[in-house]
Amino acid sequence: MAIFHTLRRMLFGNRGTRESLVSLLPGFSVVLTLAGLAWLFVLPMQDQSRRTYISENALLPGQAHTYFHGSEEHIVRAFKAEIRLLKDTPDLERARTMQQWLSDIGYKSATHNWSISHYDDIKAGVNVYGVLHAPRGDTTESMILCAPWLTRNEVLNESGVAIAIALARYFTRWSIWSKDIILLIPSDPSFGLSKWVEDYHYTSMPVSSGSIQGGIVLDFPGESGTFEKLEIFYSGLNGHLPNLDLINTVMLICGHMGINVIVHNIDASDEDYKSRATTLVTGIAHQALSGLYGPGAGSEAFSGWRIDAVTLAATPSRNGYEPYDQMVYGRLVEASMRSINNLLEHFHQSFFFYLLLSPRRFVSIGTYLPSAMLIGASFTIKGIYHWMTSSSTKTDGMFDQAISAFWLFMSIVLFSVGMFSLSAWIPSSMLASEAFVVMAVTPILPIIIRLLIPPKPVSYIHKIQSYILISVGLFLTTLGTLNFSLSLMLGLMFAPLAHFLSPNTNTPTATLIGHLQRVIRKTISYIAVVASCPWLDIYLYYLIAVKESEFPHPLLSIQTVRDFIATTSGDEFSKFLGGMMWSWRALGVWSFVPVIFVVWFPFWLASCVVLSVRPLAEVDQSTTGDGQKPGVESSSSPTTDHKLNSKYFVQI
Amino acid sequence: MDSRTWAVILAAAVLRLSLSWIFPSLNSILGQHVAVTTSMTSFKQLKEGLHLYEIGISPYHGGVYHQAPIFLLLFKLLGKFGSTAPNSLVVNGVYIFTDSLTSYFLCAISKSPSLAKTDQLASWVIASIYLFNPLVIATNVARSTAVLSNAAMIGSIAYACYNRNVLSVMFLVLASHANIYMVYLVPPFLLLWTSKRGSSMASGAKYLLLYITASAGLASIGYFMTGSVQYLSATYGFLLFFEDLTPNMGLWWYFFMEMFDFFRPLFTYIFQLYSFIYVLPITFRLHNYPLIAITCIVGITTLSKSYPEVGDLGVYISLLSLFRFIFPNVRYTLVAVLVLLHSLVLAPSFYHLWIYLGSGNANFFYAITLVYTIGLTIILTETLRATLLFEFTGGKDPSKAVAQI
Repeated sequence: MAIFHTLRRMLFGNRGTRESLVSLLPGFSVVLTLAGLAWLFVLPMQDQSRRTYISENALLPGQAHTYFHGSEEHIVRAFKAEIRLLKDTPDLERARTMQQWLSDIGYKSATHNWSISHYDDIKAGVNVYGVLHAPRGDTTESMILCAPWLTRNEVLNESGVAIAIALARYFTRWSIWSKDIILLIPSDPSFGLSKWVEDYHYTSMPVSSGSIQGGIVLDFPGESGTFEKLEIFYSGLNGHLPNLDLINTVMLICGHMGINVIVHNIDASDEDYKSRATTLVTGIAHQALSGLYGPGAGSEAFSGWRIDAVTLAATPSRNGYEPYDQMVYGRLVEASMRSINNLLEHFHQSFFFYLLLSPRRFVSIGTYLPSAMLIGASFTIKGIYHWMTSSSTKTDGMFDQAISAFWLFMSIVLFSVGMFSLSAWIPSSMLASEAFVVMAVTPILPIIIRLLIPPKPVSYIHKIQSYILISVGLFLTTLGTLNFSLSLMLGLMFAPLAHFLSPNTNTPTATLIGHLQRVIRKTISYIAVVASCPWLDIYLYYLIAVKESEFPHPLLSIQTVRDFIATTSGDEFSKFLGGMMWSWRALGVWSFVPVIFVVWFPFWLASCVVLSVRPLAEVDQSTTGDGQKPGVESSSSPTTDHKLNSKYFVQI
Repeated sequence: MDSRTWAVILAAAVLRLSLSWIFPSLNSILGQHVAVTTSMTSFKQLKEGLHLYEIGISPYHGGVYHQAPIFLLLFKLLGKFGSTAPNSLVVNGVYIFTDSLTSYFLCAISKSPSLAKTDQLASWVIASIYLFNPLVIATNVARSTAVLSNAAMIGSIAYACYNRNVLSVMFLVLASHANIYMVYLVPPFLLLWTSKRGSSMASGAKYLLLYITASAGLASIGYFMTGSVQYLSATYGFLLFFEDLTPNMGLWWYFFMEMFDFFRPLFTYIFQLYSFIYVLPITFRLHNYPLIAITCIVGITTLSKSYPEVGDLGVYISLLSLFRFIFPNVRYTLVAVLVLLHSLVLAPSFYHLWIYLGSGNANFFYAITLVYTIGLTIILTETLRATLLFEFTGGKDPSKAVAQI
């Protein structure tokens, strides 16, 4: 024990146990964040992941022989020629023609008009779909074969649609189907498709079928009819993923057919740490940001409806390199549909929470979740630190102070919710102006707050910080279970605010070093706050990832910055932000825009307050601030003694 | 009751009214959420029972309605004044009034002769701890009938504190008629009813007899309403034998879902016994502090009853706010609060994963109800310990030098 005491004295001086432990918390919090980040980079290591396997025995992938070849190719070519003719016809006429085709090949068919609008921003189109009732089914279950008219890159999905219709025609000849087949040709792969899925479940459609068990989305542009590689898209909206069995089934069939299949556009034919890590990080980015801007790959529209779907995106061959024929693609779809048809119950056997490291390797939730949870926990720990620092001084007004700090915090949250309603309400074209106003105010916001809010006690500032950190920790932990990737990304984004933001103190310093330390701490806090302004970060993201524009010369001059902003901002940025709002409004992606407003923005505003509120001199801070010595019963504080006297022998 | 308290009550009323008018779907969303309402308190089922009753069919036919017959009478009466839709003016009025009344009762308890001697929070703070508790607000907006039975229970405490014992007995009869677990409160209430100087065993027996007679009288209403005693098995039997396995925040449903049928009677017995087993020991041990005994039993019932809901926790927390003098002895507050916060936020999200997205399963939700139970247990044991320490030291605080987390 003596050694222990000596050790403790060496580490913490004469502070009590409580203070010693509390003083360890910030360091512990930093360690947790770093551990969470490090955990992520352990995952791609050899032997940290598992090879994928088919968990549901009923699927029997690749066991049935496929017959989509030979003369079927003429039909594909013929439909392709017809589709080329329809290229420039108006939506409705095109839909009518295709509906006629579907009727002709024996499907119950219908068109589906959709439109969504916000002020003068109108999105509309016509979807076509048909249902083949299963010869061996009772119309309670169905599977979907979907070929959007436009691909994810907004070009004509020529081969995709032709193959889908030819396959649909070919499927009518089989008597093995136990689930209805829905052939769907939406006018675009995001809004049109998701509107169809929504209406299929919420309204009564002229032609309908049972619950959709699984789906394959075909994405195959170009007229050549050959492709060089196949990419699989699987990320759903709000972090939802299709069952791993579906992906495995497709991968396995691809393996049988010798198709080179990739995920997240990373060629992992020679698997190594680097390729696995890149796939992991890209997958995380896709999961976190899916549905946010531009049309998706199509499979996202089915997430959230208990429909497992993947998009098979073929890259048409260039430069005469033609390894795979379109009929191979067709047979892949045929075999996949046969496997889904085999299902006896809904996909449930395999994982719903996983991260792919390569087409055939994955990590499951138990392995990767600690990463986001550690980062989430680091916020809670730091929040606990601030709470305990603020309540180490026992004063009478502690309770009132906690309540008042809580109200300030709540009003910041309510203000952000108000901003959210405003942004959802104004026309999309005005979003960029709003963002630029916030960005312009950001650097001077601390000064404004300093003028507006009267000085507060240091413990009050600590309380606000503890409220925001604890609620962010709570939010990240919860989000980690719903959308791991977003939770991880936001956690890393917020980390500087948790670790580098130190509130103003009023401890008097006389030495030069003391002043210097204070200035450095102040500067770091200021940089952390400005750098984590949500709008600024979204703008930077837009510049780097979307526009792929090069940054101005390191030696900044006003002229270069002005040129830079002029060339990159304006209508396009507005459209980008509008797209984000649309993802919330039309696709129901609650995990981004609302999260920015309801979590990120208030967190950042409250951090601005912490940075800029002036501290009030606290008299009792210096007297009881360091706490009591261990083992000595406190009798120093007159206020507590006074309170205790009234409590003798209370008989209720 | 100062002006500040009235302002709090008014603000809470405006908040509740605006919630149900600005978000009209909130009533049904929360009203159907398993954490907020159960089949013992669901407003939707009450409406169905009411409809059956109004068209002359026994409401207890068909296994939809399991609540006390008195609610049918109450809402039939309300129907005479307007619509009984969950966000109609009449229903809003009744629920907001009931919650305000509950907060008024709580303030009255804190000002009662016995408690006023101790260190108390300000009235407006006690009122806002009840009225602005998100759990209480959710229960109110969901139109759970637990709002009414809890109000009766707290009213009963309030009247007992002011020695209006007959009224207190009547309120407890109402409360236990709506929620049979409130019968557990009778032993500590007997302490309250006989706490007046000079009262004897005989007066206790008198109140007990009054309680039993009145309960039996109220229970017989069901017979006159429906013409049979079938309602007994549909209400009390349904609760005692745990016939509805719908998930809730409690410990029961998962066990009974997993269990072979022939074990059910045994485990029903054991679980019910468990929920009762603490009542008498706590009453005996805390006979000097009957209010704390009542609070502890409310807390234990929240944890161990067959169809618990989060609103019960809200009431328990509000009752705890009356005992400021034991706060200094309560440890691990931060831990308990964080555990409860996390479980209350994770519970709906895991339920969403399980039921709506289909990517989670029952274990997710059950695990989080276990965490919720841990949080609740920490608070329960700590308040009990704090009370015993308070009694032991006669008001001195031995934990001053001990680290408090």
